[in-house]
Amino acid sequence: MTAQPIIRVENVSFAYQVNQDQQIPVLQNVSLEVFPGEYVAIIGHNGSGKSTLSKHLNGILTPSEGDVIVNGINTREKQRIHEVRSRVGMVFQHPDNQIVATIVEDDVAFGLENIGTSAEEMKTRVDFALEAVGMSAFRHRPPHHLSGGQKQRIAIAGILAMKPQCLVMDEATSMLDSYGRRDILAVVRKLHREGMTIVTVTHHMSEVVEADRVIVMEGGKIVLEGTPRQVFSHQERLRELHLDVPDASRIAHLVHSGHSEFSRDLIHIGEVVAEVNRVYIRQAEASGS
Amino acid sequence: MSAEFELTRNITIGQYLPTASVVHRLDPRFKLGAFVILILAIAICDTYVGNLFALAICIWMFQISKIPLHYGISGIKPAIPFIIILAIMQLLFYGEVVNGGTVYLKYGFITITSESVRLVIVSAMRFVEVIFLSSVLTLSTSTTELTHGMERLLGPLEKVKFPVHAFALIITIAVRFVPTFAMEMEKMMKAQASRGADFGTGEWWRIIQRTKDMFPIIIPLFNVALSRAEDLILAMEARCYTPGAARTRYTEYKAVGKDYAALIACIVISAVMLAIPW
Repeated sequence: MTAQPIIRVENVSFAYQVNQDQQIPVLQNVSLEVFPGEYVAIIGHNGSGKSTLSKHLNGILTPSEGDVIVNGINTREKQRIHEVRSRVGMVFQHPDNQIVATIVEDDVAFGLENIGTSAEEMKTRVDFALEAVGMSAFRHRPPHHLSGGQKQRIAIAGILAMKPQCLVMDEATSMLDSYGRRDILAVVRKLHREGMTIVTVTHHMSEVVEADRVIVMEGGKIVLEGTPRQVFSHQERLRELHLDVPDASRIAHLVHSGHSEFSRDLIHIGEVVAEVNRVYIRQAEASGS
Repeated sequence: MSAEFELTRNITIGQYLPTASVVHRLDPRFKLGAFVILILAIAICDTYVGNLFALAICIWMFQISKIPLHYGISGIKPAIPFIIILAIMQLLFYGEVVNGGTVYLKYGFITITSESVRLVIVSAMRFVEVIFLSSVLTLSTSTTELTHGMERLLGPLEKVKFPVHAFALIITIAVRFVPTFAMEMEKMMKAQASRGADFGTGEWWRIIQRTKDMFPIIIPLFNVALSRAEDLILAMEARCYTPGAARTRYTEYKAVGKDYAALIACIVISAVMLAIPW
């Protein structure tokens, strides 16, 4: 990754104020950088602070200590918060609670209306955004007739219309059925291929393996960071943190414990199949010759 | 039993009936404006012939908007008790109040004159006309168009600091969440019923009992509504919404000849209605 990071989180701590002299610390001294074009996954079990961290990325929450810098703009600068939010878009968990308007295209245009885009420009951007998520055919429909996955695609379109550089997904697939999740992942994959920076907060490990970089949170701190392969090699550690590993990775570890020549750094099912073939063929060759 | 919980099926928000008629395609601002003018004329007009004329116009409007008249008539049905009670009250007590006309009957405090009879009949006709007109409006205009139209018409009020946009947004969000809450309520009713709660089985006159029956639904529904509202605020903020800030508009309406023609036609109709002397 080159150049300047899009998002720079510097020593951020955050605490929810319960009352005057009591507060609950959620984030402690978190630092991270997100670079253009990256696909970052943030994982952690409930209460690890991952969602809170994601809400800092576009200034919905501002840190109690430390700074979040988006493209050189500190999220504390209230006057420039629109710039931050149109650069870093955010899709939330519940598909129903993000849609404002009674007609799909009106909803996609909502963000654009807020930032004062001209009417003609809006038309082209709404067309573009609906096209990008494959929902053009639904533009005149009322949203309540759509499925959860379709609603979430509309929510993504509403963000895309604002032409952000980075899309933050705060457990955006957790309320969806498996078809809806597959659709959303396909859309996200496509956007990433086209150059969009993606930050996804999730506890579905199948989504994590698609990322370039995985950040594991626990107790408001980053405890592990690296490529999916590196992170999933720490199986013991992940188990301590009550986190799953992808099936492929678990299988590889199990086989490895019995057959040390079997690699354990596998995270995709295809890799496991290839590895089985490799080891099996080698054994066959060894016994055959 | 099952039909009792099917709330979402029975929901018609607004009651848009897309027949793609010329009335449907009118600019909602002009349609609303024309509607207001006609309603005002109906409210002022108190002659038999004027109201007959208005009634004929209302029925004709069903015709040109290609909406079957029975939609309008079904709108009158729930209003019939009110119309009757109003008519009886006016008949009994208005003779003394409205001056003039020949006295038909005088018995104690009850005075029936030709003027009070006219008032009774005209009021009933007004009721029907207003219901017909609003039916045509809501059947030929989607809720989205209605809110857009209202927002534009109220636009000038922004000068006196009336939050027109916020007002329109509130209506939009309310309409948007009606089906969502209906679905939510359906789920809760099923969940509570499966744990033995009773809905609507009490006698209808035991209003207090029946109201109490609804508590296990209403309270969680409020709870859910509040948490949804919180989510919605976050999502709106994430999309740069600032209350009271200037915004641009996605849907723009451009009035064409037929919009002006329709408005003028309605003004002429109103004028004729008021000019008829009998």
